[in-house]
Amino acid sequence: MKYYLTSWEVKKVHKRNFDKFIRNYGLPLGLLALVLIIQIIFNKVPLFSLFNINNILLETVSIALTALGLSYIMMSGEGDLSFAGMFSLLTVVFATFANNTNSFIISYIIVSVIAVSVNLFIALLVTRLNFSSFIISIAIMFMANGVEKAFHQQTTLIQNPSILSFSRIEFGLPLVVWLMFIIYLVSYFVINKTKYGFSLRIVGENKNAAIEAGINSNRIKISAYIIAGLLIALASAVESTRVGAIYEQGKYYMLPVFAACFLGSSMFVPGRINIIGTLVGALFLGVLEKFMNMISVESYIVSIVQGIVLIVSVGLVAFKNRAKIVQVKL
Amino acid sequence: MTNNVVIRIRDVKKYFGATKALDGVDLDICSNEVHAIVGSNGAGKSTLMKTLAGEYVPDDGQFYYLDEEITGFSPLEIQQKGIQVVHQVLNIVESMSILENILLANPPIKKGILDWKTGRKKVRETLDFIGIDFDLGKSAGSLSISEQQFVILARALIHNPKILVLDEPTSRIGLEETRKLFQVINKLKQNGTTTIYISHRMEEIYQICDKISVFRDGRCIDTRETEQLPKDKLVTMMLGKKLDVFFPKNEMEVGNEVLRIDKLKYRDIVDDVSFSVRRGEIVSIVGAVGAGKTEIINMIFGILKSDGGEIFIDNKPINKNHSSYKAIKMELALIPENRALQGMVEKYPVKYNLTAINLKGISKFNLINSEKEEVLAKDLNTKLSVIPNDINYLISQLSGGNQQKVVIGKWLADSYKVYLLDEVTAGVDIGAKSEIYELLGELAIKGAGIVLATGDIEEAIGLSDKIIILYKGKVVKEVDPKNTSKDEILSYIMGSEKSA
Amino acid sequence: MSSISIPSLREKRMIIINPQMRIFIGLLFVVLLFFAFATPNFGFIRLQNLNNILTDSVIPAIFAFGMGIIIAGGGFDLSLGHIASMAALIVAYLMSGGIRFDLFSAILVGLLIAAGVGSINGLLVSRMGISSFIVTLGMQFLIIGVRQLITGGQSVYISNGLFKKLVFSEFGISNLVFVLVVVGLSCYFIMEKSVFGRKIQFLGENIEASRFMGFDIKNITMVTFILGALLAAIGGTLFAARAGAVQINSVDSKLLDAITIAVFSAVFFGRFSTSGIIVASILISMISTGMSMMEIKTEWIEFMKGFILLSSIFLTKYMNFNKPNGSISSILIGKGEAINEQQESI
Repeated sequence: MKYYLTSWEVKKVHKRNFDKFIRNYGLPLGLLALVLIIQIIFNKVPLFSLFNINNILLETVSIALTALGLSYIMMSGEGDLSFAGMFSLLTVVFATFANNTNSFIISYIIVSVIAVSVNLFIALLVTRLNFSSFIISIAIMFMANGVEKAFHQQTTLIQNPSILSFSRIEFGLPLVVWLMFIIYLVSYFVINKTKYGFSLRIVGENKNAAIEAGINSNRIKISAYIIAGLLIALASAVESTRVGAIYEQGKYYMLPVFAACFLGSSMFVPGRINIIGTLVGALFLGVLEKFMNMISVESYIVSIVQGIVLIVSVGLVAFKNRAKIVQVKL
Repeated sequence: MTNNVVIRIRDVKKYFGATKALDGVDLDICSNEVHAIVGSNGAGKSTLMKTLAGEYVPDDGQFYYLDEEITGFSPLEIQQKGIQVVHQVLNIVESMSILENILLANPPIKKGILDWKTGRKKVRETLDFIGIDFDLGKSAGSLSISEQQFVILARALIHNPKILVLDEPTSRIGLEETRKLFQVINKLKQNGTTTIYISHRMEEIYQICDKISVFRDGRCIDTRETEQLPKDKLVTMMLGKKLDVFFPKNEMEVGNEVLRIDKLKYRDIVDDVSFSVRRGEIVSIVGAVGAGKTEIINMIFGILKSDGGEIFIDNKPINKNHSSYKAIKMELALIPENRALQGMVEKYPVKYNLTAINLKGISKFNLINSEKEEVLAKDLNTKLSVIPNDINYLISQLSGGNQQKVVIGKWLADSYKVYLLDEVTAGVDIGAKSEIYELLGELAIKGAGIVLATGDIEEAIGLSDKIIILYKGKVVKEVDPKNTSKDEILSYIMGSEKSA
Repeated sequence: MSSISIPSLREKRMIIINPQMRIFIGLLFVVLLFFAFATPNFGFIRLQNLNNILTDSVIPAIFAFGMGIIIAGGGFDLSLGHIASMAALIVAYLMSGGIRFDLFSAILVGLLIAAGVGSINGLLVSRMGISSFIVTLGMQFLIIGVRQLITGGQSVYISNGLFKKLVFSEFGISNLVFVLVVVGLSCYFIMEKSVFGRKIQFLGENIEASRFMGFDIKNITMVTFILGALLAAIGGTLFAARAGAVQINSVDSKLLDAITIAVFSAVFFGRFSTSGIIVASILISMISTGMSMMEIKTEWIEFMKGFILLSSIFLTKYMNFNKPNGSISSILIGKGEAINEQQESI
């Protein structure tokens, strides 16, 4: 038993503590820093004004919810790209039904059914027939895109004011923002404190260990997909009522949704998708985008920056785990 | 004395396509015993255990547990009956804590929420029983492989199983840990738990097992009391034939120094290791798991970058920018530890695997000449007597021993100065083992230097001219196998004698 | 003595005779027959139409070659479509009004830039160890941005006559087909016959083993991305030449076609198969043309292509020719099976 540490080991311990600090608090601190910078630059338009915060949070809701759904799927060990096509399709469907039936509930139910069915379909193919979730979701993305094109090729707006108010109601913060926080909170609890969440994480990390533990991986994966379906349905309802159904909007969300998840994975255990991280990541990207809008940056540069953020964030994590990565095992 | 029979296996069959993995197995396991199952690769041991664990469903036959037929074959149902299997592959969830890993199958729940505090007590009890101490909050991924093996063991024992199956439990742990394991097995026996012990290691089997069942070609050939089964009879039963010469007696000329390591260092795993190898010499590196054997070999070959020290080939130092590409250019060859992951491409035919290193030789202007490829592959295949002798077979369809021959085979197309072998006979059946030994002898005669990292002391003694003993990353002693006993080497490996 | 030899007669026979190929060709005939009867006046099998189908299959095939090479090396590239249109853009731009490059220089520059992008992708993947999927996802958006920067949102028109000639017909067959033959042969020799190609395939199947066999993993990976980008650039340029202009949004359907074909043949044959890719592109081209001749809306054709992607994976489950299970197939078939038995003794 050693009672002293060699200098090499002391350095290692310090480095480990430092690493841990950065991991756990780096991202939220970065977010705070960003907010402060914006605050300083735009002294006249204080960021912390309620209106602005509401605005930013509101804009982030759809992305945050979709990212959460993606997080569930990724935590179960699969990947998904279908949301890029499904999201905009769902917003169109929602808007169309809202205009035709004038009922929020009916529109919402229809969108939920579609989202969950499609995801269920994917989940079944992935679990029963062992297909690559990655490739299948790409196929679904393109198919959804095709269907969307067949419907409309322009923006659809909802006419009914009472439905539109879904994203306007406020209790201090907008209703949907509260919903987002509540859903995240519940998810955090489920993932970290329940047996279901425990099983989910095992399935995602080591399939054989899941078998040994007697966990029904198929059932768990299917549940993750269903949850993701429900979440994307909600996200599409929010988006539809907030700005309407914009043609092919889903494609532009592909990047921030992934970036949120991967940025978030840099927190706590590096490389592991986690709930809090995804939320912080989504918020970070939301604020970043707002910032770039405020300094009148063109939309394509926003894309470029988001792309760089994604690569850098994943890169840092990957660089640390150099030995283990490289091949496409999504 | 008749002990109660706890498990009765009757005429169990399991096919994978045309392969008869289990071809009518009949076996009785009694209570309160340690029962060994031995056999060559492909004999059916692991398949039987996987079926018992509920991962495979038998195609025919019956399993009886305590006189009741087992009808539900799923891991959960089997575990509920009190049968726990510790597999060869360590299924650890790396990012989760040790506590979580041990309680993987049964996380403690209170009012719907995970309640780890309650779980800790039970885990501590189990760990005390095993005689090991862990910081339960540490992540399982940070443990050494040896420690992980014990985590998996704890995972099985926490259920208080009546039957415990251990599949090659000592292949990854050192000697101290093996002793601990045996203590646990004995304690379990006293408590009424039966242990089924699958292993290739004779010394262990004879040390701890009461009965031995021999498997061959998917059947259980015979079951005997250990005391009544001498070793050579056992080998004959396993092979179905008599095995005369095991270690080749080679007298060879030893030439100039071809490889020299000087004060090699790697993190805190390898520290100040120096030795040299001459042409025609077979040098073994032995040591416990984690002593640094693989790291040294990988550094010589350029897979790992050393943190200090020099390597000399024919007295020329190796560049700091060493890589496997350069190593091959310098005429070094490496047969890696994990053949499935590192030594071959499973889904490719034997042909491609055999010619992988020698692509330049069979091509012209960078285009591969398929005729030359076939010729070379057939040549090597026959030379190594790979069964089946068909180079178009997918390598994954071969048995472990034959796969290893192919893995070695690709390095035989050319002659190299130094051959580095990392656990080359691990998981290889006796027949293939002796063929590999002969091969090594031939290579040495041709003038190559051979470095053999192995955990098998008998192998080291039988084959080599010089044995380097490592203990925790340092060279403890260099011995001459002719003058040193197995026990002496063992004690050096365990660190109980200081370096001379 | 030339250093390139045409595949010997014996080898050619082998290409056609092996069972997967037989099925493919059979499929081709089935589809042919179907559309022959489904289209008005048997318009489908008119010579002119068949010619069109063949021509239509060229560009997707070239893209598929690019995607196929990258997949064979164990990676993936979502940015190929955008690299293609960016390269086309550069070529068109350089030849237009203000700058007036000549055809060959313009194409050269375009290819160089594409190679540059490819090497950035390759660098990030091989030296930084970032998943190729993420890198190319991010790169995709970067390229969109850059493109926007250059064009300001407008299309660029191509007026160079020589360029257009590339696309027209000589001797009754479009020049494009000759391009396909040249590109196809090159890919064949690189991927299926050369040492380098063999190494790429090894890399894609088992990267650890490749490391232990002394393969230069970093450079091999990088080259696959560069080759993929080059082929994409070629495809994009040809596409632009055909269309007479470079538009902004003409990207995605190319990508979908490329992925479909590359995946289809990779999974079906278990490896990079030049002839497989060519036959698959002809098949898809037939289906597209046939469907539009039956007056089905374009959007549904897109849908159909996604569906084909799906079913192609489906089919391979029930056709266990090579029991695909390496990394290439891990991407495609799914991680489930790949874990099975990687332990040694039995």
